[in-house]
Amino acid sequence: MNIIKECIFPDNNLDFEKISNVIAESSGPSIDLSDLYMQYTTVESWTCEDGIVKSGSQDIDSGYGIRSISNEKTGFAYGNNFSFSEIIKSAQLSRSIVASNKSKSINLKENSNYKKLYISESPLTSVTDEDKVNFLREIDSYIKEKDKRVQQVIINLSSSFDSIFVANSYGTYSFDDRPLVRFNVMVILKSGDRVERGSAGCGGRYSYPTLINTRKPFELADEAIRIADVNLNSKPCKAGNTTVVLGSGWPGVLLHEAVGHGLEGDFNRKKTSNFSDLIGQKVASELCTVIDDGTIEDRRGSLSIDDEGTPTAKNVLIENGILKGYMQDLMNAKLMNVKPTGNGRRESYAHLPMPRMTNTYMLGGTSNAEEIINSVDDGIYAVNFSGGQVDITSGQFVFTASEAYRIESGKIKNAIKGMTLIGNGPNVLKKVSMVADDMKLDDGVGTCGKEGQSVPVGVGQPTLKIDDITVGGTEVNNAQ
Amino acid sequence: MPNNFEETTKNLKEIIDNLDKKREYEFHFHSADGADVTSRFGDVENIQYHNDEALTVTCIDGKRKGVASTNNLSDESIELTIEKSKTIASFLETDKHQGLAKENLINEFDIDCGINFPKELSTEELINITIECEKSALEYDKRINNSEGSEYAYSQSNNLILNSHGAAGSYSSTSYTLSCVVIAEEEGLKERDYAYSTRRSFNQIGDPKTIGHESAKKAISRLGAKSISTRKCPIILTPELSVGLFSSFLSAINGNNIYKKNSFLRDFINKKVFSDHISISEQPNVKEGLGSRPFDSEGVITSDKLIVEGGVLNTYLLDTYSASQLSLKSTGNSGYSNILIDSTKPMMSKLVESIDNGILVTELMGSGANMLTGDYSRGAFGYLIENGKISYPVTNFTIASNMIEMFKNIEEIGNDYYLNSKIKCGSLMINDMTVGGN
Repeated sequence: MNIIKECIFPDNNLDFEKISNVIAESSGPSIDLSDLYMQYTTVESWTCEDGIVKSGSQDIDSGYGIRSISNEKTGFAYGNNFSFSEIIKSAQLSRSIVASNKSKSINLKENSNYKKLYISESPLTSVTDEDKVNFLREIDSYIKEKDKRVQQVIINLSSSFDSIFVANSYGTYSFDDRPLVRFNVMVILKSGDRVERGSAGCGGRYSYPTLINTRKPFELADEAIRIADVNLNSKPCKAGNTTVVLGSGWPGVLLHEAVGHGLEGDFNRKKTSNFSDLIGQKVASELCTVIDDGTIEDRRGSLSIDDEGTPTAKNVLIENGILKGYMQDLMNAKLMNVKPTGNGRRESYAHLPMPRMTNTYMLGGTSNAEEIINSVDDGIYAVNFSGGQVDITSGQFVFTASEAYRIESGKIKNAIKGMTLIGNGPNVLKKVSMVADDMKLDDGVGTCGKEGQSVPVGVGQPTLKIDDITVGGTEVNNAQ
Repeated sequence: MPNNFEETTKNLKEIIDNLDKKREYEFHFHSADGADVTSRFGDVENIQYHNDEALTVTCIDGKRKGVASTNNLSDESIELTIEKSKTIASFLETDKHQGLAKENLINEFDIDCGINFPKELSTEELINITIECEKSALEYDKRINNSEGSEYAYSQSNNLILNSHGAAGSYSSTSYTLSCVVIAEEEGLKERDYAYSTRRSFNQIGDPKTIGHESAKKAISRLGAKSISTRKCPIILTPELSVGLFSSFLSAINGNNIYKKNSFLRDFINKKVFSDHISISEQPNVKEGLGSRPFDSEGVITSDKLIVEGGVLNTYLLDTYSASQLSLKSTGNSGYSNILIDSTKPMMSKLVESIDNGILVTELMGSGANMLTGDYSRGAFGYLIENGKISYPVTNFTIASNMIEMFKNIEEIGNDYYLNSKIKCGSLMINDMTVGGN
């Protein structure tokens, strides 16, 4: 159910005639594009800690944002009072970015030419609150029975339901309903003097029963215990340059940082990215084909339409090492004279849209994972990462492993701790020397931050080998 | 105090006073308005007007805590939010530590704590400031050939706390920030850097030209960075990065991380964390302080305290809940205010001169600070120091250690205080860091 259509419109006496008045007020002869975004979001979160389901919360956030774009200029105003008079005032503020008369009239037509990629029901009401509490308790007991070294268990179940409406001066409007579920489990294990943490989670655009009624939460609980256990036996990591094999799935966060951000349209229009003006050129080893795909059903990073009403797409960013295209929103697509790619996203009505990733992954190759490990004489196998960051201008990126191992003579050896990878996006991608056939998407846990705005994203990749990358750790000589 | 905030205060006070006495209730209301203006290449690029408000209701029903929030302040919506907090609480399990703040509560509205300096600003005026700021950066050197623009942001915000044990307080504050981000290019290599100033009052922001120059100078000094070999050596962290290290420290002594055993400092109370010369204090009532506040987020009155004395950890930072978990009293630290890092050693103006061979670190990247084990491993950018002098910029390296060791190894603190943060600290010289390079 779209709450904007079913509740906000009637409660505030809004209709499409009034909406087109708002669009007319925010646009004009000197304005290239204006849009109105209305949103009603409900978020809930339940946490089990110390064996007690001790906290629960529900937040409701609703409001609208109006933007007027003239060439490279943007005026923006937002508010949370949906009365017509308030929205009109915001439209006037937004248009004041340039001296312009308002438009005479805008005819609005619904854009329904896109595929719905997820259900339109709220996860919050898909099971009872009692069921949510019982579920958390069940996972908690499972973990405590499974491993006696457990010091702390924190389990979180949360979801949101986002109803949006977007209308623009091109004359189209769209509605979308976006469910999102997230589950996470964190355990701390103690053995002798050492304590280590392990965590695992999953999520996607579905309802609670899709998660709660499966074995998946138990498998993730096992996974969290396994990671903590591995880290209890980890040794310090040797600093310096080495060969690194990245595991499949979540390590795709490397792609997200190393190339993804640098391929966002805004940075390339302003030429502040180190990928600027490189379309058609070789930016990675020919084994690399990188895709951003917002159209995968039920995925955390997917959207039926982006936050500007453009249907999402499967966009090839890099094909066999050659840079093919950037990710675009409406404004940057127009300024760069290319088509929008369905990557215009915003954290909420109170934020401006910009080009953002959806689900970004590398296609599989022809090697197999074992063969890749066997080919490394001395290096590191990194399977899990806790996060990363990139400077899109210099291309410098960093990310930190939460599970990694030494490789010696083609065999996986002891776990290592405190390992950080640092490199330069294009340089590192040129050093990808083997790519396995085991492409996997992550479990649906990623959140990407850009200019203070967070949006849910997906990442993925096959097992791959990078010859020579800088690794950070505490050991200087061959102490391990 | 703006009129509508005063009205909301009155309305919410009346509502909470008339709620049932069987349960405990807390209302937290926050509202803010302001604008952001960005200019790029001498012309305005973005104007954003902000206007936010949100009410958070906490209900504690027989030691069960439910929380609900809304940004719709109609009576009907407030009532629904209260009901939701009650419903959530009713499904939870009893936790003997739950409870709202009861002691040392604030009882004063519209408190003046020297952090509210509202000023009528025209959009025109802000645009001119940003244009002037960016212009001084672009004209600084011909290698500055691109820009992400200069941005001016200001906001005025109001905070209200009410609880059913009698907490009733409010205050208003303002914040002004001017920043500039530019890109330097030489021989096809680009480097980006920024400078900014954030203050409580418009008049304290400083000369826009100085901020522009600083951003340009920083971007240019990064050009021509080389890689570096792996080594152990002392490093100097700039004041900005020192603030980040101390915020990890403050998070590690936060009661909620202590009782969850999720902190590398969980067993350090009354023990040495830093070397003798270091003391750390909290000062909630500094005029124009970026962290100043008359009460914490639960309505508990805040006062000066010495957190670290002679390197020894005196206290954790406790809110009502974590204090109960640890059988201690709240320290008024549901959040923290202004933090001052001090040293009994003379604070040096030129730390670089005291190092023969080391690195001045000016940027840290990635999330490699493990709060459970203290393991620290992060990507860095900086400048090689040779014989007490800056030699050249260095990139693509990591610095690693364990925070327990790093804290002990803080040898010197500079007098170059960083003013853009509620943590007031100078440069740090830390011995014995592992630098990972090629």
